[in-house]
Amino acid sequence: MAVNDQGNSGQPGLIRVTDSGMIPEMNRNYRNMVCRLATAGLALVLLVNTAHAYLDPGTGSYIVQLLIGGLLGGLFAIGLFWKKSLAFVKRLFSGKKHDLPGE
Amino acid sequence: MTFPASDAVLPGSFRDPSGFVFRRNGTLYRLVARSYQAEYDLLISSGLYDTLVKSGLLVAHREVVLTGLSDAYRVLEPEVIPFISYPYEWCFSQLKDAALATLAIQKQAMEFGMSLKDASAYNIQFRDNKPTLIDTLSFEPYREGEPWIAYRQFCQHFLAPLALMSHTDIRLSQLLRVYIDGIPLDLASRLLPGSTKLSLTLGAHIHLHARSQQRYADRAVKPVGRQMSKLAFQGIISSLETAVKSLNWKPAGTEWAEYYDETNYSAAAFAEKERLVSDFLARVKPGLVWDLGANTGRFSRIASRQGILTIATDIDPAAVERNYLDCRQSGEKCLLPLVLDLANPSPAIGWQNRERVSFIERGPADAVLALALVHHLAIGNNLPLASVAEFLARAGRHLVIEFVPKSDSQVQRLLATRKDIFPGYSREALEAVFAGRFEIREQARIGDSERTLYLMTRREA
Repeated sequence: MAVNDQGNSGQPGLIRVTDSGMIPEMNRNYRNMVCRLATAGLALVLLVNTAHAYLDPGTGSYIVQLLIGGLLGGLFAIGLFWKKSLAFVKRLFSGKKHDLPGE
Repeated sequence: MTFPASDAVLPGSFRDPSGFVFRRNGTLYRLVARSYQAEYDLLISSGLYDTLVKSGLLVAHREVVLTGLSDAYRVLEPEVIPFISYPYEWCFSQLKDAALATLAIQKQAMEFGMSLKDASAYNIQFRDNKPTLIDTLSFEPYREGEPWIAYRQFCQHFLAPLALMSHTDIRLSQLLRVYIDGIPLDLASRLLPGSTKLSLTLGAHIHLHARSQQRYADRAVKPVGRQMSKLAFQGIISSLETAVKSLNWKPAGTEWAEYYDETNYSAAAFAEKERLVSDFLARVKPGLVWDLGANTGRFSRIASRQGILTIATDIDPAAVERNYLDCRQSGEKCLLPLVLDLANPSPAIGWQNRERVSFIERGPADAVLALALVHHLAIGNNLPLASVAEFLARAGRHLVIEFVPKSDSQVQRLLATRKDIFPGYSREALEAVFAGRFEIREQARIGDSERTLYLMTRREA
């Protein structure tokens, strides 16, 4: 996931969010995510938007997931990759040749 | 949605449009509304229900046919949880285990294409000291692109109180009694030490989350397009799990956790007290015991190990924590430790004061153990003996009560810092006052101590 903070579609108070962050692109995406998270976090603190007046305690919880989801998804993917790599290396040294679980 | 007036809808279940819980002829049922048909069918047909029930994470039910209910897609008769407890009565590890169970259920649900739409701590109950979800209607299909709808609730009901108990003060669990929908995150953010802002997990899920809630509280923000990948969703769940697992609390220096080490009983007197309690319980054969002021539950186990459901309450979160961890380790099935201040027990809270039931309304017990308790109430809390007798008569039918005289070193400790304004505190006075509400059936001096143990049965009006 990535947050495109320049993707405002012209409507006030609207944040454009697009999806990416798959495992093959992980490293590049991870760097991008950190930059974008920082930008988005800064925007969260600094931006004051004109807005429709309604109260919804869930909106902030919704937005913050979009902000942190990319980074946490990236870390989760790294964790999975790491676990699988370790399992692969273990199997390699144990001399057994069969597929990794879940593959 | 209509149902016969003779059915009693449980006041805690009115918020969910998917269905509600009601009682008919003493049996508990859950109605599944027609509007929830698709979700319920998916829960069953996907295999998620079977998987969760098998692992003990979801309460089992059977489908039944009842008449007189409109708009009912199904009526379920769930397995009964014998004693309902609330998050403000749980010790640290109970709340932590309930949080981890909720996340385990969410992870499992995602494997079956579903997701939790609620993450309320009140939906978790303890059965054989294992946390289990009691709300069968908490699931919805997982829709890729959408964030976790229960994220705010999870943070408010579980993560914020656990973080406050771990990092600030264990007693802050009692904020859950004030805020029925969990601790507001801006309040949690203010009460947590500043250093937690540097933590990736608490920094994001509490501090940034609170800031985001404040910023967008009065703003219409509608993110467009595919907002959140499944990987990002899983990342958030995994991060919440890491956050909860990394929170710990080690009891140290609290009031009574070391009580048994400091007790003035000799080993022989202690053993005799255990034998007497066991004999008295055998006389009345209770089905439910409340051990009030149970400390770490040494005497509660006399009842629970005979298969009697025993609720062991104590004011000290450290004693309850130790009791719960012991129960978990030894696989104790019939013992539920809870944090409770008897001078201010859990009140009825929520909408119309009826959503969560007061502690006393969850009784009466068949038998109450009040061991080494009466001096704390009468002297420690200035409660007249007549009032103590009235409370205990409401709490249970049979009573095993221990009288500890003023000359006892534990009472002397209580009197060390207060003026002795308790001339009426004596064994004779206790017997006279309690005789008004109870029939005193047995009494025995405990070995070489100065204490007396009584078996009493309430006089029915």
